[in-house]
Amino acid sequence: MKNKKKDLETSIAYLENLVTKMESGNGSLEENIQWFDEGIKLIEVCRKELTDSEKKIDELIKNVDGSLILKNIK
Amino acid sequence: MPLKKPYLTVSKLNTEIKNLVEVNLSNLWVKGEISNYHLHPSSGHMYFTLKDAKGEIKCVMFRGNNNSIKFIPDNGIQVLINCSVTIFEQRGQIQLRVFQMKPEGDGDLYLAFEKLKLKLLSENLFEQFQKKNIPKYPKVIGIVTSGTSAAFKDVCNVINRRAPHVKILLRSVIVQGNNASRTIIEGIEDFNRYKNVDVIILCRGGGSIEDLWCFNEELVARSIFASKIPIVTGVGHETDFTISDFVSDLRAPTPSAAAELVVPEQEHLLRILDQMQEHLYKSVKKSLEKNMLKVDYLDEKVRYLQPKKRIEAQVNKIIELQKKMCSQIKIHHQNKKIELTSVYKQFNGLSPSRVLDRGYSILFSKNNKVVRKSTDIQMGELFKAQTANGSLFAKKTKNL
Repeated sequence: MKNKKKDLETSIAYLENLVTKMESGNGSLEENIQWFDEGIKLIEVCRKELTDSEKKIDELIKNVDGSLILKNIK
Repeated sequence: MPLKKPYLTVSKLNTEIKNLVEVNLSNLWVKGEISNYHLHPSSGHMYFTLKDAKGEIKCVMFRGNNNSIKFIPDNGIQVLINCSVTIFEQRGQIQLRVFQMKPEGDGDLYLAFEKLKLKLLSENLFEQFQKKNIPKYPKVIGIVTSGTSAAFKDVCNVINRRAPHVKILLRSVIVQGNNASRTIIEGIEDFNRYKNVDVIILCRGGGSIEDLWCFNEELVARSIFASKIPIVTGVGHETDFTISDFVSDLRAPTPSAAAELVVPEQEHLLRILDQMQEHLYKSVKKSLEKNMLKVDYLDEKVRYLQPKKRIEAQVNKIIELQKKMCSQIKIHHQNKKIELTSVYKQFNGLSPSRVLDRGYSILFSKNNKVVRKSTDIQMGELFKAQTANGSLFAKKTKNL
């Protein structure tokens, strides 16, 4: 899962899994710290995604040849 | 010469009839029940007989006309048709050429609606198991509606307010009239071709049943069903239910409600992230504490087990034993001492000097033997008398 851009839903599911693993108390300290680091980084990525995005509305337009293009409309 | 009577050829007669009939019997509205219905598969023309209790007439509705019908014609349905009478000259057959067809009788469009609903229901198109999951946190939302409509503005407002991070992609279509269904189907197909859309909102503001009719058309319903991307419908008002609503993956009462169902609030998402972060901190802290406790415990154990401690303990034990031994010896020694004193006292009591102390004397003969009887000494013999504090010599003068 590392270094791969996850969508929000996958990220949150992944985070839930991390928390469950950590709360189970079965992991070693090293594992726990690794999960923690990973979790905190992922949370930051998600936060950024939620707050940094610039509002954009596009229109999907079909050309005569059937190809699809995007055009900004606001 | 027989008189030659004027006559017409059959084809001429048919042409005459055609002219007469077609001029006078055009643009009529006729009511009747459909029977012998047949849709020609390749041409797309419809052939049927229109009848009532006392008569019947053949009808044809060409493809160019029948694609605007808002329901599926079938045997037994009462309809009102707009038509002209035509004569098929080659066969001399009379038939109605139909331009428009409306269901007639109980709830006209309602009937068509119910019929399509039953048909799609029997094909399991409305079943819950057919519904695609609506993504919980979509990033891109495709909207199929009219780009100039109030519905589109409403949807944009809701999405912008609740989730400014979500991207909106419009595929503008016609949502009313004859071309509506075709463009709606294209819109859905285009998004499926474009692919980078998490969920589609198919919506339209309120209107009459005729205005909303495109959402009750079979082909639209089938294209919603065929979409690989989940579709949420929000057509008309709260009370409007369309076939599209039944077949879609989720039905919302209005366009705005559809937007609300599709996008979760940004604040809510941020809260979830905060909670996750808190959980992570707590868990890692707990894990650290647990490990520290373990280390402390082991540290104590190691300290306890080291040899120095054990030697110390044994030395202490030896010292303790030594002390115990010493004190035991001392006690023993004292006991013996007490015993000795008493023996000494007893012994002392038996000493001759103790007897002398009481005033007795011991007599010794001249050869230094203790005198035990008076005959041990001869008359006139010197003998020694020992007293407590000295000795004296005496002489035997007389026997008593």
